[in-house]
Amino acid sequence: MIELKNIYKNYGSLEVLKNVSMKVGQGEVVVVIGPSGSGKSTLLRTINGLETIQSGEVYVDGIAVQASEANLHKARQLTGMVFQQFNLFNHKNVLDNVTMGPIHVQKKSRKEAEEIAKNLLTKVGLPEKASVYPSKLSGGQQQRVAIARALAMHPQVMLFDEPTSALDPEMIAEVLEVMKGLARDGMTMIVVTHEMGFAREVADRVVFMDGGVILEEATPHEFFTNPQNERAQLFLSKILNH
Amino acid sequence: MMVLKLWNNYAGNILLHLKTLGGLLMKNWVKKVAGVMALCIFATAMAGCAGTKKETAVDALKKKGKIVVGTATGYYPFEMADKNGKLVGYDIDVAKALGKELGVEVEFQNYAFSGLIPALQAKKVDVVIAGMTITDKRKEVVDFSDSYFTSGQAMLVNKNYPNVKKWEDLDKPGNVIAVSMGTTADQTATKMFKNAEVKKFEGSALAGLELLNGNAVAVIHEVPWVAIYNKMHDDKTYAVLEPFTTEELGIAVPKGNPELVAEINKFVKKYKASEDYKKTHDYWFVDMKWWDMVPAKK
Amino acid sequence: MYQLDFSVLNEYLPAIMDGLVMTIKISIMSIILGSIMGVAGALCRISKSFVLRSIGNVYVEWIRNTPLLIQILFIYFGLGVFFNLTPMTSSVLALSFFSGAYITEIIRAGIQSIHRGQREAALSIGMTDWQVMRLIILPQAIKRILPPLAGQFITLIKDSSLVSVIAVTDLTYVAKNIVTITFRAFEVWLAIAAFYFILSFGLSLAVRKLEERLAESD
Repeated sequence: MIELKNIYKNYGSLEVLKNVSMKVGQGEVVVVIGPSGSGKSTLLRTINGLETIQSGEVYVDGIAVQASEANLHKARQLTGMVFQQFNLFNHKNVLDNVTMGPIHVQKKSRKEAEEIAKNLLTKVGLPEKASVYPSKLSGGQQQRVAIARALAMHPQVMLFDEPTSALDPEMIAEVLEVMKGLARDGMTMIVVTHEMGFAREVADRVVFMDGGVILEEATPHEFFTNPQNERAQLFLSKILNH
Repeated sequence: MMVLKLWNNYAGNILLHLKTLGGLLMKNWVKKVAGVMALCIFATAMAGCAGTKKETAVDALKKKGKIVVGTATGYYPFEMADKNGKLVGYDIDVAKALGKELGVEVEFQNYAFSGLIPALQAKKVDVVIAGMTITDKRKEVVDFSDSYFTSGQAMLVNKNYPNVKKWEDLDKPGNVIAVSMGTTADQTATKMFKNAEVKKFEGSALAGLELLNGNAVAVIHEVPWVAIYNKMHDDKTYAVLEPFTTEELGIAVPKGNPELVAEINKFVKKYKASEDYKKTHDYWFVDMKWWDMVPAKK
Repeated sequence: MYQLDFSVLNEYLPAIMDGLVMTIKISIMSIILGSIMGVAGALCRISKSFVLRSIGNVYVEWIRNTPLLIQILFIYFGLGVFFNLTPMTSSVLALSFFSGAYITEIIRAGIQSIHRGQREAALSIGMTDWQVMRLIILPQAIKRILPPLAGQFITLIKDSSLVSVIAVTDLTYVAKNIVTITFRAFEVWLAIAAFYFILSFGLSLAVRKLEERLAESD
């Protein structure tokens, strides 16, 4: 479904991604973890072209994302992204946030779009908030709406960029619940996160990155009980011990 | 309702500022400074009162050692700027002669013509020498010396509008007549022209420019200016120099200074009878030897 | 002693009203045209094209570093040599170019103040750059742009007084005329200042109302 081949990216003299390759198959849930600055968010964002690359290839469902504007556009419609800062459209209410994509990008009728939207809002547990504005919602609620917004485009892959890092602890669970639900439904997901519990429970594979390189890839069980890489061990000992 | 809303918004703020101010006033050093300032103001007021003995304008000028003359450059050949930006012209020479007579230096200040009388009223200048015609309306607000020059209004016409012999020929609907705001040309034109549109500009230079650009058919202004401007731009204009009004130019003085007026009249009489008078007159109006000194479009 | 006499205002009230109408007319036309120039300028300045960006930069720097009076005189008397420009046209052009440059900056700042996450989210659901600008960025930017934009409008009303030098019969021109006829400088200028004040202050009150209404959706 997703294939990253020899991705290289730098900001001036700073090398952010060094020859990174990764494959994600359909229905797989891959969790990417690592210390800050490891390049994991950047890697995720190369998939839908929010980050450019100096060399390498990115494929979404066989489409070479970097090859042309048209390809990029197609790739973006096949992927849905959920951001750390939610990024809901502040000037639109919840329903409009979700229907904007279907209406303006997929050219669906308002009626059809609202139908889709209402179903999704129910799915994420917020059907009654349709006419509310983002500023009136809690962080957890906003993120769930953001998930609904991304799902409204019927993506093949969902990309999560640290979706719970900006949430107060008591709201993290409600968002993780929705994400687990998606995984159970068979959605292909790539999740950059610090939530180890989620990784252990739902991930098919854990990818550990540091310094712009993938250092270890394993199943959650293998990774958490018996990490091979030294830096991975160091990282785990730090986060699992507080 | 609105006021109430505004009050609610700002009252808290205002009260806070007042409190801070009050706190400041209580400070000792502020009280001292305020006290000293009050004393100074009081002393100055006393001194001011003491000094209001009737001092004539002439005495004041002589004490000051200079006379400030208000004028409006751009009026050929009365006041102009030469290539170096220095003020030259007939009025300039008259002013200098006046200064010499009174025994004071002459300082010139340039204004838009329409700003000269307000400047005089506001005491920014002592006298105005600017090719200014003596009119009854102006006499209501300022005093004039006796006439030092006789002139009249003439017409400068765009060559695209031929065969103008009298001002009535210009007074057709759709015609634009450009004048310098506040001059007698302005008043004359506004009074006389019933069909044409009179447009007023700050200064004859801009009025002339309007004509050159083809946006006015004629400029009304005094004879000397029309003659010279025509000479400068005879490719685009022609002049009807026979004046259709008669105007006496005077030196303007703020009201309430009869001694100054008398003094200036003495000067004017003397000047008109002097040798200098004919020399100066010929230099500016007849020989026009100054022609190359002044930047002109040709 | 200068005796105050406000009766001249009564006598010339019709002329003053005509001048007021002209000032309002010119200001409205200029703010509309200026806003259009401002939007174009802003889009140029944030454009990916070097050429467009340069055009935008030159425009803004030129206008902001030359006096408005000079710009008015340049257009009417300078360009007027080559084109047939009426004083009205010249005034509106000059004021529009002038305010357009400042509006460019206001709009650009407004657009750039929108968090880039908004743009990223819009792109990630497949919107084109133009859709992002039209549907997401501009609508949000407008709220932020409105206060300084209104300030610019108010400034424009006051700046419009300069067109009196090219004999446009606006409020200031009429006032100058009345002063030269009546010599009542104090009374007339005080009254004219009051008129400009009413126009400007009235407008700023109206804008405040608009801002409050827009703030409801925050």
